[in-house]
Amino acid sequence: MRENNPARKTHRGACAILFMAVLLCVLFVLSFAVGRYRMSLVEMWNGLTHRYAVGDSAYNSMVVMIKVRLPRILGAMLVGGCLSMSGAAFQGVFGNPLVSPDLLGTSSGAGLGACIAILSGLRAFGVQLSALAGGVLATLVTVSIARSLMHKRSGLIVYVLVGIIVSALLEAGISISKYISDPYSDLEALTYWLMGSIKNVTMEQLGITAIPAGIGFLILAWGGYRVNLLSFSDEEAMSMGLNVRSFRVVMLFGATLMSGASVALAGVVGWVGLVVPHIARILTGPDNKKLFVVSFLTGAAFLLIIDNISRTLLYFEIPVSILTGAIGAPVFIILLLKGGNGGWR
Amino acid sequence: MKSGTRRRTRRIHILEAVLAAACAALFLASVCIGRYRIPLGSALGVLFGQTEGLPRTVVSIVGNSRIPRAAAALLVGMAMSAAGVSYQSVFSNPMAAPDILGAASGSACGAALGILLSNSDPVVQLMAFVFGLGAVSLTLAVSRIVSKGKSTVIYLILVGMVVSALFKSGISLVKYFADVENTLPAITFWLMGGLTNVTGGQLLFAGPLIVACLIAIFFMRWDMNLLSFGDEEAMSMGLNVRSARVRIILTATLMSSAAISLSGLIGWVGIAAPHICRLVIGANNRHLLPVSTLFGGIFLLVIDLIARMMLKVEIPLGILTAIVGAPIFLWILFQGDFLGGGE
Repeated sequence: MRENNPARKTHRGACAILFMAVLLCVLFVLSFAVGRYRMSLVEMWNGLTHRYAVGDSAYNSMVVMIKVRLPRILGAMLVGGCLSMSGAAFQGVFGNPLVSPDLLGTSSGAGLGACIAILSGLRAFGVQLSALAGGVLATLVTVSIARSLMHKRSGLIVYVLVGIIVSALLEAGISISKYISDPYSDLEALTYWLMGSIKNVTMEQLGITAIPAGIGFLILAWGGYRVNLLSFSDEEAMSMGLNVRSFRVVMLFGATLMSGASVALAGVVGWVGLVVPHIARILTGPDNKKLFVVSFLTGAAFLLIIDNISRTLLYFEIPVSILTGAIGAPVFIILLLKGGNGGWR
Repeated sequence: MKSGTRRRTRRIHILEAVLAAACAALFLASVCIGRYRIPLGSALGVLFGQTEGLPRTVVSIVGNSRIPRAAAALLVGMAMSAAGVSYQSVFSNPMAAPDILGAASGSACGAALGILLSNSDPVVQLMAFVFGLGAVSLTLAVSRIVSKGKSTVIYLILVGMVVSALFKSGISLVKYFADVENTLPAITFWLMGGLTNVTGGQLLFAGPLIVACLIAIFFMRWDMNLLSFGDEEAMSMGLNVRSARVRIILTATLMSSAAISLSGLIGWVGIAAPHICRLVIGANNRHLLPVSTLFGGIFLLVIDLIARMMLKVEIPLGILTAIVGAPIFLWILFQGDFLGGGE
């Protein structure tokens, strides 16, 4: 009875958004204090309020916080949020809880784009742009091949199969670029880029990435509640005034912009887009309108925590994607095995 | 009616003979062709132990490098393709293949761990098998739970992707802990897939295993046919469905993990080769299994020849099989109608 009360449901969604927003703020503040360079709260406060002299401990902590930790924290939040929201959108559009943003070959395309840019001597900005373009292009290719197969059969399976094939080809391309690259300079850059890391994010890069990510966010936020209609059959959704086919493509484009932007910024970080929407769905229930926003917040918090662990757990830094795999995969399997529907439907 | 069937059977027997001959011819070609050309006579001589009067370099090249490599290509291709056919019939699922079910990345993860822990072939082999089997079981169990009993292609594929991703994370973890000087390069190059470094010793270990599995699976093709009718009908025809299924899955996994521990990750053979054969001769496993086994061997021998000869440097085999196999598979998707059977 209680679950069927729409007012309560809205309540639940709003509560989830508020809760995650507060949690994220707390984590954001705490993350400044975490790291190899220890500083006291007083030093931090003095540093932030400009009560320092050049060279003293408060000044040092200001430099560490603003120059080193701030870009990294913002980067983790942006990447986590983008991947999760894009994952939630993919799962909503395809109506399947096992879909991840990699499904259509976005990350392999971005990887190949980055490889080509690195091989042709570009660095930083060029690599990022080329990665984003590669990701979007790969998705376009997958979607158009899948659509030309649609006369035989429609549905998720065509997208999945074509996505597998396109990713395999792109990954062969990545292997080739690794193979022909100069092992003393390019190969290293390639390998580390592909491993995925938020270590070297700069404010400049963040600014550039925020543009496509923001556009994607707006598109998904606009389409959120219409995605709910997709859980009806196509005809029913159409009778409710939704142009199903073009709506799907628009949503996929928005989701791809977000995940492509995050790959361009931080390389391939797995599992976030697959797992976090499930956690968010437990908080909000199946309403996609709230789910998308909560996914963004939860993903940002999730990757922030992961990044803090990767900075502090061992003497050296653990690559983020290894940690997301080690934490995300078991969580995902538990969620699946727990049966239930995890708020799905 | 009957004579028609018989005629078709005879035609398929001829096809099998032709394929077997092609296998043998390609094997010889693969021994002879290369950066250092070897006359057919001396290749045959070394092959049958008549080494008198041949220059030492020739004997050494053929014996230590060409023959192990050609044999490995043949065996790996056969094993991957046969494993693909077996998985596809057991799950009555056209997309089942060592790569899709996660067996490939599972075995790769196990083998990488084996290389990290101890570099002896039996350990690597055993780890590859255990992890491969674990991955397949995980995929099956999870997909069964998630799809709530209905056997659907889509869940198997998606869960397979997730399980593969899981074991790939495992591989990066192993790589991360590996010694940069010698273990890490060993794992990296081995993962790219290739037959460059196959030695006679490795072959002596994995080869007999693959051959034994091939023979075993060859005698299970009737069971596979029965299984494709569906569980209840197969049972009513006197088949112990459960044990047959477990037997076939175990054999196929053993086979593909042995192949992977020999050659590293070589994708797409297990899915492209059986589908091409199915287009030509139909879905009867009695013929499909031997034909696609032979065809898989031919496929990989040809690919390996291309990999050696096309450019000045050798192209890693895994890259080539993806470039050749993936478009073939896409073409089959356009041609075939098995998408209709899907969900």
